[in-house]
Amino acid sequence: MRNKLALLLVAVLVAMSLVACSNGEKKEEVINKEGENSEKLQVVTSFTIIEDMAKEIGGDLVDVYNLVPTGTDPHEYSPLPNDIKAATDADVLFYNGLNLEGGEHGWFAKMIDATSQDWAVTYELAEDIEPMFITSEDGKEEEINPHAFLDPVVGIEMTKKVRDAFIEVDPDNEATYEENAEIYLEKLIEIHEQYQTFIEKIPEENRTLVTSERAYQYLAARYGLREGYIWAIDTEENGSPEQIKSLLTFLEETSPPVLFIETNVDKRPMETISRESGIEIFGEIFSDEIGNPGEEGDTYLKYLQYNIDVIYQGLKGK
Amino acid sequence: MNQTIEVSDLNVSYYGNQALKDVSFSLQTGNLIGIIGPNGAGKSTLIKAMLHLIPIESGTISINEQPVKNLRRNIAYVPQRSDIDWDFPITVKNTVLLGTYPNIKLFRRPTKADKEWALYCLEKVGMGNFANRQIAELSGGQQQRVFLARALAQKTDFLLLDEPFVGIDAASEEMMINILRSLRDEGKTVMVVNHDLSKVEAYFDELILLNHTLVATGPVHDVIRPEIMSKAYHTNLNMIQQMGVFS
Amino acid sequence: MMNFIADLQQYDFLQTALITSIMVGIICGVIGSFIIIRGLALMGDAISHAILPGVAISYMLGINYFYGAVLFGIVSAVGIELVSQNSRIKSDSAIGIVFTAFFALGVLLISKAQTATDLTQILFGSVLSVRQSDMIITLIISIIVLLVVVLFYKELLISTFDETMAAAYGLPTKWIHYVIMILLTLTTVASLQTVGVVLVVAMLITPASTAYLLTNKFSVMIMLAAFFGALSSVIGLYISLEHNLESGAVIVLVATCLFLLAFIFSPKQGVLWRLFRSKNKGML
Repeated sequence: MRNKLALLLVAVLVAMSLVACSNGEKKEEVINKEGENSEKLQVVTSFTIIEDMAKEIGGDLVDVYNLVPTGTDPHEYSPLPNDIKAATDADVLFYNGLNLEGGEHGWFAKMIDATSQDWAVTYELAEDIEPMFITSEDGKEEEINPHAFLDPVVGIEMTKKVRDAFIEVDPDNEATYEENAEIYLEKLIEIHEQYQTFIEKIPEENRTLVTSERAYQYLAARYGLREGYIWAIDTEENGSPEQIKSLLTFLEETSPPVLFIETNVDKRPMETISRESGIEIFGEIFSDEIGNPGEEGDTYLKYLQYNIDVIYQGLKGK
Repeated sequence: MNQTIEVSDLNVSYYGNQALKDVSFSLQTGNLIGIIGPNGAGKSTLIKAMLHLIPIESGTISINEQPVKNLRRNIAYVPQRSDIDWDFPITVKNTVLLGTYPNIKLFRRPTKADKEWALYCLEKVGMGNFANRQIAELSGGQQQRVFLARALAQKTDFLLLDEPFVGIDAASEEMMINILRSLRDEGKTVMVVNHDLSKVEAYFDELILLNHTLVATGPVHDVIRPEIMSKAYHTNLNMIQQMGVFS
Repeated sequence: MMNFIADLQQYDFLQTALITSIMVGIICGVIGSFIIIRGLALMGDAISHAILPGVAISYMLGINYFYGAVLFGIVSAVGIELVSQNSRIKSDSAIGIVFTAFFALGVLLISKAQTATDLTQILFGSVLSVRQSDMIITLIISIIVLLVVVLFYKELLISTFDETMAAAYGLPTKWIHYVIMILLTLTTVASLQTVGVVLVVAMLITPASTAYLLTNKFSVMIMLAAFFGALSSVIGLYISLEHNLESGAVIVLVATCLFLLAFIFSPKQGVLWRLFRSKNKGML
């Protein structure tokens, strides 16, 4: 019996020492969190593009905590403790929808349920966007294409949603949100017009956007581009021989001047395409996420701007 | 009224190899019975089959005209030492206590009386001082005695022991055979699979001599005869004599 | 430490996570004790993988993944038993054949069910996103597991220690084996939430092994294993919160640390003590 008690004691001591070891650090952070701006509206966003929008429209009135960082796939994310704390404390939460965050069984939905956060203050920004569907090569799988935000017009819709959401949760500051959104929307509309004029300047026969993944479906549909892509649905088999062959056939039929590659995908399949077809890869464009702070395309506006610049330069021809 | 153990037309196979073929015998209870035969003759198979521990192809086993399946709680079985996980976290005392489990009802725990009985059985095999040791800390002979104590704790009329004398010291063997004899004297039936032919005459009343089929059965002196033994062992008599069978 | 307690009071999700992971730690310790003694460590790994098709089918049918997972866990346990009992194939090979087949089927079905997103959660678990309803299912599973072990402790003990004797006096040892497999499946499914498929086996084996090094009594081993399982969960959750780390992985590493401590310092089995003893012997 005495043995058992001794054991228990040892175990508890071990526990205590482990706890003590890890206790020293990280205090600051917590203090910061509680001491700082408790009056500001606490906002949680699912990924970088929405984070940027929320900051632009919320301005000084909000604190934005973003969940999925640049370089991480928003489809499959495992929330960390601080993420869930932030989600619990949030006054308003934004996510893209169109299954970008995994849909109804996905991590975002589960997280909201686990935190018993109110779905009424959780806004799906692409709610009113007409979903487009992507199909696998064999035609057996079909899913919603979540990449609507690559289309500036969708960006405009999402911005309006963010604005309305802020006003709904924080009606006292309606004027500020209106004002911030107004400025932001103007810029977005400007970019939209730029997309229109630039693409019109591209010769008809050159208007083919070839990328690795079929992420630019909404964009292409909006502005009248043909789409070439290696894979439609992001799976473990990206760049299979059939996919490569099928794109090569497409390239023969359409002969676009250049190929593009996304910043966040495996470059090898597109390099194979380039070698086989003799068409050069013109440059990188953004798809799932904006650039790291301080780098190219680090805001949604710059991201859209950057994309159209590269696309135009690549396709305008000689 | 004499009770008998009846085995008739027992057939057992492992993956197509026939281990026991048409084994039939009838033995009186209340004896110390040795099961002998060469390596791989099916000795262990026989007692396992008698307990229905392995599937039998055909045949019946009954004691006093009762199928043995109905009498299981009246039979104690001592496995070969190599069948036991000696690293199992269990003390000597609790190992013996397991012997009381067959007689404890479902959802019940051993009572104080059960624990005292287990300790008494442990004393009987001279292992009382080791009650709180872990079973791996014992010598081979001590381990075997503990398992005999467990069988005693089962309070059964029949005891089946599989190679209990393998790899144990002389003192333990002596003590165990004395206990088995006294059980026999109390009217219990003890069957022992035995490998070592040198002591069969001294130890057993009856013998079952096996070599896949039944070679002979009956009182020790009727079985331990050169012409019968050589039939089972397929070897010359000198060898058997060297093994010390015929003293 | 105070932060942790304050956070616990403040955040519902943390309470849910803590309660769930403690329950999982306890039942993993209890069932793990049976598993390691019976030499079925690989079986735990196998079942955790074999439930994948069940999870996929549950999503297709729109029901909670517990049901499909438990069903497939049991089917795979029976399958493994059938293969190893009815052929000369050894049980570790039978385990390998059956669970890889089920896992492969699961991978196919998951992609068909368009739930690739959920696969990550199943593989790695996310105790912080445990829903209230999942916690209740975990609670029910824990009660079932503990109740069965307490009620049938006698039979479980004897058939684990000496299956031959148990069978000799008429216990249905084959059924007892299946009962343990069912308990193992239930435990595995409950653990998916905290540590996921990949690390379940650690929660089953490590705390039980730690306990195994510290005691000579099976009942004490079970209790210690449960204690270590729960302790790993609490400390792991605490550290993961303080440092914003993946909870499942931290829980497993804490369990490993506890094992290492026992491995080195255990009075009977510890490396240190053995070294000391053998040195003393040398001096004599």
